Amino acid sequence: MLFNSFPFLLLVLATLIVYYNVYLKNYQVHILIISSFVFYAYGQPYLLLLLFLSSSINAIASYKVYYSQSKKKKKFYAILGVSFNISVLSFFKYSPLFGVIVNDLNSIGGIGEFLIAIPLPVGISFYTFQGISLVVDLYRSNHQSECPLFKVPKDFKKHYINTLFFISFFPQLVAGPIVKAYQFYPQIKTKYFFDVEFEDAFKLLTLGYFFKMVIADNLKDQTFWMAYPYFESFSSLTLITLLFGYSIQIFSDFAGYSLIAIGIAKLYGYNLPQNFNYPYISRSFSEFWTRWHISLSTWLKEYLYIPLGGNRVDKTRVYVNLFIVMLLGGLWHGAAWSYMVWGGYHGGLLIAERYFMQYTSFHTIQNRLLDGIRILFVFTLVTLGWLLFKLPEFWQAVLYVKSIIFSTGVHRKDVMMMIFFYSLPIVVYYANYLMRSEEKNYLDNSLIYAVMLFLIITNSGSSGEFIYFQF
Amino acid sequence: MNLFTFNFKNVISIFLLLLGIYSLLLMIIQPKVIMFQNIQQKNYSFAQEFIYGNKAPNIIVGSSMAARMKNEFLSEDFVNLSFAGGSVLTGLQTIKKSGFIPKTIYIEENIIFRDKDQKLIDAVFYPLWWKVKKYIFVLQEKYQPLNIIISKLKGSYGKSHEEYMKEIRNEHIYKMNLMIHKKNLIMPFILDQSKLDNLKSLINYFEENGTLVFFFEMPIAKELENSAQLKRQRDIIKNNFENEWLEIPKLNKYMTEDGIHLMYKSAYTFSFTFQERAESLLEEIK
Repeated sequence: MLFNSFPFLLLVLATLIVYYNVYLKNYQVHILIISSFVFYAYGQPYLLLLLFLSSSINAIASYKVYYSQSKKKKKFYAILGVSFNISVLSFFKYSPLFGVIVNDLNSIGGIGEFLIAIPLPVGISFYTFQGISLVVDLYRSNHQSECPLFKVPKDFKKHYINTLFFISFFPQLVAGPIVKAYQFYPQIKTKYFFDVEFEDAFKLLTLGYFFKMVIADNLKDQTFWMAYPYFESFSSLTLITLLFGYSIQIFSDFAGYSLIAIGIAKLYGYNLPQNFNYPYISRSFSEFWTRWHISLSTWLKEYLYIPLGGNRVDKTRVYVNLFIVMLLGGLWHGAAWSYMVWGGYHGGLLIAERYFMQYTSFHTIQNRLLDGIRILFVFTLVTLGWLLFKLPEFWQAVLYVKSIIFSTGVHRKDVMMMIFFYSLPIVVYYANYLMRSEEKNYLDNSLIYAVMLFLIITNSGSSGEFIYFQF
Repeated sequence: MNLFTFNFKNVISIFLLLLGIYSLLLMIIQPKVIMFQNIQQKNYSFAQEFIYGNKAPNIIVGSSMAARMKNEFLSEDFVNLSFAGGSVLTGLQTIKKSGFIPKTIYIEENIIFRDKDQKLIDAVFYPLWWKVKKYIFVLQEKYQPLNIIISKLKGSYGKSHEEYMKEIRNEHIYKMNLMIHKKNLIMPFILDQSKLDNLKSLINYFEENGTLVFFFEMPIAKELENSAQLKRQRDIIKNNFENEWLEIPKLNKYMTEDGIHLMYKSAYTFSFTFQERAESLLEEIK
């Protein structure tokens, strides 16, 4: 069910009406679970079973982690929970990749086809990561005083319901933000209509839908030309513009989705973490990863990078850790080698930057012009990396880069003009961020929101799935 | 009303005002939209134009190849419902769902087995919504503000008909694309039976309702005409359908810009020949 579809709007409205009914206030969590299941089952009803199973196992494992008496048992259940989530993710997400390898080896007939045919449940990468967060957070809260605590009710049934809710909460179920257990569980309580921050929710929803429907969906129909073999016949300038357009598209698509998710959760009284913080003004690659898909990068930092030793180990080991985390982060996006290469590419950039910063003081020089050059440099290399997202085969991405350098094809003025038009609001959005002050935010006014609403109604692109749904 | 601070009521008021003014302008001015932001939107708009009014008795369905015969080149008795990047099946399905029964349908054979664009069909016939859109112009894809702006720009600064007629082919691009098409068209053609069945059932539907259905081929580069894939496809159609073909002579006088898409001037002349042949074929049948 797409966020910009009528059935979804109906679901949100119907749920709101029932949710804030005073007579049903003790069943708010149950109501949201039912809505979440309807939302999930709408596209793939049979995969609801997997979501249900995943939630149930996580509920049991986390309960046992919290209430087991011995440390040994706690550890056992924590390992069990994490292993279950990783197994589910590996089986459903990576079996097709193994299937291709098996087929290539041609050693075991039939198994390859079987593995390739395994369906990819929507949102599996997101909800399994939330499951891991639940088990690990509870295990840590018993052992590490610095870890935020949250209480697990003694009544297992209540914990089970809360876990079903945490895993399946529909605004963030299929594409995040990835919510950590310690951020979400403390929020589970009765909500009141008059406490809802409607103004904030309205702003988030308007901006989110504008990003998705007006910017991303319209750019999608231009960046379509980046597909092989079309791009071979375009000029270098057209290819660069298309790549720039895709960079804006992927930001608008995913940031738009996240804003909508956060806005809808707000309508039900829940605060989801911010997922994007103007990533394209980053002055370094490490800064970029504190601004882009924040919920994933902090998840990887908290549950993978730090357990691997983080920065507390020797230099070489830090580099290795960084590379492993980025490689796995890349692979998290999909079962394709190009995603792994993309992760490795970002890992390489982070390592190079870290190495460079250790031996020079260049990064400490504060200067507006230099900042501009840094931003442009980071943006260019990040944008180049998106080629691995857009083009399904690695060789196509290489060919695209070659075409940028050597192409003598045609200028597509129409495509370039459209990309310019649709990228402009995003450029303004970033420029406003750089120029605004605490007293003055140039875009936070009635006229701008009214124009965005007007364009959502009159100038939306053809509806397309969110890019991150496939992950 | 302070527009430069946020106030929810003001947002809604300004939004309604903008929507009202824009709707009124559309009704009064009825701007001519000659340029679309992308192919997908152009296809949506063509489908909507057809559904909401432009129903000539003779309809052409096809892909981007037949779409080169612009509606401006055709007489009022003809309408071209060919979709760029689309297929014959999308066109036929759109006519069927609109409930209209034409006198004749001309089916482009060059790209006849491409998948139908179900997304387009679902979008233009979205339950209830497609009826609402008929009366509220502001909701029609065609009248998106950016379409009006770029159409105005094109009208003022774009090429004129005469300039298009004088356009010269870029030989470098032509050769490059020709090579790509050659490479693709020597691949063996694998028939998807379901598409053939779909085509049969749609043609049967129209014939049962009295429509005359013809096939035709768009002219393409000589080097591609008899490629393995096209020959096989032609055979399949000839073996499965007894419908007449609209034979258009002297195919090689037409120039394509990339091997398969006619240049403006060629499309212009071809459109006239097409109509003449179509009319004489109808006379012959009578």
